[in-house]
Amino acid sequence: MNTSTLNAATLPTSTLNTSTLNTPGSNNPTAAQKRRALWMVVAFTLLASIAQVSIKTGANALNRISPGALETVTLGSLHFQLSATILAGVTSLALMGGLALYGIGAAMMVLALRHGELSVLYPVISLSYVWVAILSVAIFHEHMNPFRIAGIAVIIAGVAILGRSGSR
Amino acid sequence: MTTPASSIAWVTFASFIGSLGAVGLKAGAQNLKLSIPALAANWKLHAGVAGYLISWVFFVLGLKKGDLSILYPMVSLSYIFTLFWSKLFFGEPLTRAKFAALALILAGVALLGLGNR
Repeated sequence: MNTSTLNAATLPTSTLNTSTLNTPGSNNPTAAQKRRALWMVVAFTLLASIAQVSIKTGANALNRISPGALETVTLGSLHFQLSATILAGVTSLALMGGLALYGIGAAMMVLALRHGELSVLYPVISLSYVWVAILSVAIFHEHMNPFRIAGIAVIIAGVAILGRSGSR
Repeated sequence: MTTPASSIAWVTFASFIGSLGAVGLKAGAQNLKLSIPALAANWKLHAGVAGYLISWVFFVLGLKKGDLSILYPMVSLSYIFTLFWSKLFFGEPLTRAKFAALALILAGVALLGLGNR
């Protein structure tokens, strides 16, 4: 072992103390920063998937509305008669909310890329396939089938391997 | 439902452009300063966002015809392109773990595509 690696090895406490002062864009991210970057991408995929479902719901409802007509909305066993204009307002809220979530997600993605490797963080986006599959079963009552279960499990395994190599 | 070669070509091209968008985002994020003038001047970040938007145009062109359960999983091709860009532009190591993880992810996305039929 040469002296330079010895010097580096004797400095763990001082590097820990300065880690919180790391300037943005520092090229030597700490393990904690890398872990945070990974979780930010996971949160981004969840936001993007909710955004996608929200936009789909809003767009579907907008397609159904005929102007001026009364719409029946079913919430559990309750039926509401809503004027089409009110429903249009609510669905455009779903659309707007979806777009806003996309914007927040994109900003989180950029913040995550400050400290993480692109080759680790980018494929983690594949988790959005998992979220969409789960949400489409939970919200749109599509059926879970063996292919979907296997797909979800295999993607999560792949992302777990990336997470392990990306948080060290 | 058959998927025309033109749709596959558009979606592959969209994935390619999207992976270049990711390179722009990463390059822009590396010297990120959170002030409005700095963000406005961060042309790499802008190029990255533009790359994404352009890739969506080609993706939508591809989706006009063809089977979604084939075309939607094809977007994950961009992960392969991105792996090589990250080595080329940012000198990130290409480890065996990354290749194994990518193989699993692509297999999982293909399985989900089969499950959506």
